[in-house]
Order: sequence, then C-alpha cells, then structure tokens
Amino acid sequence: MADIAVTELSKGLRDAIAKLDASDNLESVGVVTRVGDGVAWVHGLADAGYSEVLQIETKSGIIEAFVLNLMEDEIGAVLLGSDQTVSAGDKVTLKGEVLSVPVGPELLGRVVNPLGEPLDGGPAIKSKQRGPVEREAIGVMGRKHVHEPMMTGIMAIDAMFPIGRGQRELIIGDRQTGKTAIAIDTMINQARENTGVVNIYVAVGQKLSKVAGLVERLKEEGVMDQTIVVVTGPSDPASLLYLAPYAGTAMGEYFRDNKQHALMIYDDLTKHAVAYRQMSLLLRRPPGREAFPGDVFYLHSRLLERSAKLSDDLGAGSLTALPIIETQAGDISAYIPTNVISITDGQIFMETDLFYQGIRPAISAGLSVSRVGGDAQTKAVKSVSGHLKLGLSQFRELASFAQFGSDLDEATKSQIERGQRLTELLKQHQYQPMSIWQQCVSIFAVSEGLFDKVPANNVKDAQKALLTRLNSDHAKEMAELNKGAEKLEAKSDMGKLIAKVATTVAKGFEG
Amino acid sequence: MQGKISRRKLALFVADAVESRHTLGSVLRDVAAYLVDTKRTREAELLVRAIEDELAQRGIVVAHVVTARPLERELEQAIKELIDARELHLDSEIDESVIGGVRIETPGKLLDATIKHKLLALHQAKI
Repeated sequence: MADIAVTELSKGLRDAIAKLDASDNLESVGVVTRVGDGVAWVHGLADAGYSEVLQIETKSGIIEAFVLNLMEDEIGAVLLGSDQTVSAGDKVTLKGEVLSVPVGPELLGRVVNPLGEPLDGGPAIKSKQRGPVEREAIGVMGRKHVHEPMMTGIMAIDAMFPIGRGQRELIIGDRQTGKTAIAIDTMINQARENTGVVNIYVAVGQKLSKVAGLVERLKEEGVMDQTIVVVTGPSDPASLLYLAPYAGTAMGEYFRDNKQHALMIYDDLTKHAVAYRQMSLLLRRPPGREAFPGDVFYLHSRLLERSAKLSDDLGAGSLTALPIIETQAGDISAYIPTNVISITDGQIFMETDLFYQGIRPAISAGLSVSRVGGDAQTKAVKSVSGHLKLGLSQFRELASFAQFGSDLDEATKSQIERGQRLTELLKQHQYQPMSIWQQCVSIFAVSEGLFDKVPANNVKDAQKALLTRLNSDHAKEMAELNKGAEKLEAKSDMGKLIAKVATTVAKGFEG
Repeated sequence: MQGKISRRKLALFVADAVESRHTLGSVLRDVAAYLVDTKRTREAELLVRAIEDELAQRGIVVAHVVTARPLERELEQAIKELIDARELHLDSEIDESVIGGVRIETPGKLLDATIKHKLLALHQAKI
C-alpha cells in the first residue's frame, strides 16, 4: 500500500473511482429470442431478479416487460405494452427496479391505467412519491383489530353484515345481481356522510362503457374528488389486468400509511384470476384445477392481506377491501370463489332469485356473513339490529313451511307478517344510501311493532313519511342519533320520541 | 426412444471440446448433424449464444468488437485489461457507421462507447 502517499489519498481515490466508472458502462444485456401472445423470452441477463422490469429496445421505442419466469438459460417476461413491435433479436436491458406506480393525493379524481398513466385526458400525474406494485403485507405487530365502522349506507348490510375499516368483505354473486351497485353505493355513502374515506375502484377487464358510466355517475354524485379509478378493459394485455389490483392497492396503501382511511374495490377478481391463468399458461407453467396455476390462491391472498387496520404506532390508518367475485349459476363452491371466501373476513352473497322477486339489494341472509364487523358496528345500529338476521332467517323458513297449510296460530302469523315487513323495509333503491339515523329509525319502527298495522306493501311509504317527518320536526335529535354513540331502546327518550311520531305516521298508512 | 438433448447439454459438450482443444470442426459437424436430424436447426443461433455463455463462465471469452477503423494495438491491450478473462478471443468488425469509439460485446455484457451511441443518447435525452 506504499505506492500512494497518504497526502494523495484524495487523488488516488478519485482516480480509482474514475477507473471503475469506465467499467460501469459495461452493462448487462440480453436478447429477445421469441415473442408472442404478450410474452417475450429473453436469453442472457443472468442477474435479472423476479418481478424486475426489463426494457426492450424496439424499432419504435422502448417497451417494458416484467420478469415472471427465471429459467436456466432463458427468462420469460410479460410485456406491458403491445407485442407487435417487439421482434426476436431486440436488445434487452435491466431497468434496475421492480414495478412501481405514482401514489399520493395527486391521483385523487383521476382515471388511470395500472401503470399510473392518465386515461381521462387530463395532464400527466406528477406525484412526489412512487409505491411498489408488489409489497409485503404489514406484520402482526403493525395491526390492530377492526373496530371502526365502514358504513355502506345499505341497510341490509350495515344492520346484518356490518363492515369495519380494515376488513375484507367479499361481494359474490351471479352476473347481473347488483354486485357493482353495492360497491358504488358504498363509495357514494363515503362522500355523502363526509367520512373522509378515499375510494379506489379497480376495474379488471370491465367493459369500458360500464366504467365510463360509473365515472360519470361518481362525478354527478360528487364522489370523484375522493376517488381514484384504475381501469383495464377487455382489450388490454393480460399483464395489465394482472397488475391492476396490485397497482390500485399500492395507491391505497399511501393513504393507509398516512393516517387516512381508504376503501378498495376490486371489480372483479374472477377476471383477474383468468388473466393470470392466461399469463401462466403462456409462460408454460403447469396448469392445475380449472387450468389455473398452482399459485392462484397466493395471487389473491397476498393481495388481500395488504388490507389492514394499522396499529396506533403506525398511525391507525386503514385499508378496507371489497373484492367482487362473479359466480356461474350460483356455484360458490367453484375454485376461485372458495379461495377468496376463505381469504376474506366474510361475504355478501347476492341471489338471482331474490333479485327477480324484486328484493333489491338481493342479499341472501342465510349465506352472507361478516366475521369481524360486529365489533365495528355503532352502538345505535347494533341495539336495533340485534335480532334482525335471526328474525329474517326464521321468517324465510316459516314462510316456506307455511306454504303447505293455511291454518297457522297467531304467533306464527304475526312472525310471518313482521318478516314480510322487514323484507320490504330492507329493499333499497340504488344510489340512495342511508345515514345511521335513517337506518336506526327504520329498523326500530318495524322491529318494535310500530308498523304492525301497516300492510307490507305500504311499509316503504310509511318509512319514507316517518323519515321526512323526523327530519323536519326533530332534526336536532336525529343529528344526535346519527352519531351512533347511544343505544336506541324503547325505554329511552329517543325511543319514546320515535315511537310517538311513528304511531301517528302509521295511522295514515293502515290498510 | 432417447429423449431430446437440451440446448444446455449441447453447449456443455461443445465447450468441453473447445477447452480440451479437440478439433472443433468435427465436433461442430456432429452437433450440426444432430440438429438437422432432430429438426432443431432453428436453435442454432441460440446454441451459439449458449456455448459462448458457457465458455465465458470457464474464462474463455469471445468478444465482438466494432470500430470505425482497424483496431490499434493499444486499444486491443485496453480491451484485454477491461475484460477479465483467462483467454480472450477478439472478433473485430469494422463499421464506419459507428463514426468513432468502440463497441464491445461479450456474452451477457455490452459496452457501447461509440460516437453513434452517444449521439443517439443525446438525441433521446433531448426528446
């Protein structure tokens, strides 16, 4: 070490760096050997990592791809753009990073693709931060139990299957049963009730006309300001469909990690699994049940595990997920539905039969469940909805039993009648989410028997009249009830007040 | 029936032959006959790459060098220093379109220090 004088340390070090710089230019390159169906096979680049981004230099610019198959002498990469311009022999280099998307408040109100590029014709998104698309879920100590309500504004859900912030609640059902409607109503409710929850709607292979309609509606309702829409259409490459939920989650995680609350809607994960199946089969991974690859469970579990309620130390933010799954002919025991049911903290099952009987939202009381939301229910809603689910299930059983004979004792008859009223009451039009006080008063009126003399087909009108009357005459009390902190009981002042108004209103609707 | 011999195995076979200084011609004839027999001639180009990769791992590096003018002794020496190899084979090519500088390609690595590349990079940066 005597060849450099101590006084020349600085010069020696700088010279050494300059020398290294020259060899730094020696970059790793690979070459495209085959390409097709959105998959490129690359020879070389032995130091590529899993999920790393590759840049393919084509004649018409750079096309990016990400590594999914690392084999002995070849890399299988999925293109993030069109495969038309990529040809065998093109030079491939490593970008030196895993996939990431822009995250932050700059995205609010925007419609983007899974790479964070705007699709709404607006200016480019200049966010200060980027978030990795694939990120490990938060650990045990970083979490807290779900305890705050995420009100959907849909009475049947908030009363019987309450959802909490940080919960994953699956919406499952056949096509055209109102799955997306529930998700949209939940988003609208966040804006109406000023909950401050950020909505992130991820459309996976949805018809673009449907998404356009949805965005239009959200703008009309004034929800778009607190919403990010991540869109992939049926004509997008499978790689983008595959990335969409992860990219959306990365955007949601920003709010979760910054002490805010976000709501993810994945519409829908069936198409996501199908896109992943396509990619896997093209990458020549062995197919398993229903031709899905072996890691299709992990595909969804690692996605949904990122939804969480954070501990106080981490800021107590939350990420709630409402994944949607489409079933075929009500078969919830197919591969993907069973997987996602077992991953999530409960499911809301939509039934075609109910939908066509006019019971909308067509939520099945028997097959739906919420495993953790009970703790998150507000006191007021909990106090009125305690026996609702049981009562409704018993009614359905009794009603089917009562079809065989007309001789019923009084008790059974009244139970059936109350069940009919409850069923009527829980019907709700789309885009009309209800506040806590509206839900409490409505359920209270029926379950306390205040509407017992109102025929079932008039219940909806009576409910409307009651709510209007209470809103105009007792706005202050209702605002108090809306906080949901107090139990609503027949003996309490609030209970007595509602009973008084309800009895007078009911008289106008008696058959 | 015997299974298909993988590209990697073929590459190992040729690399062994190169290392043990066998007559390369006869080995290549054998491999070519095998490729024709198994209708895998399309893989020839890939096989060459695989052989070069395998040789590079054993310290025998084939470097393709592109310059605008014939290689000078000094540059050749500099390239030998840059590439860490037990045995370096230079395959030089003269291409006036690179204008100046040198482009060195070894299995899996590329050093593009040509004027053409720098100009293109500048052009792209400007866009």
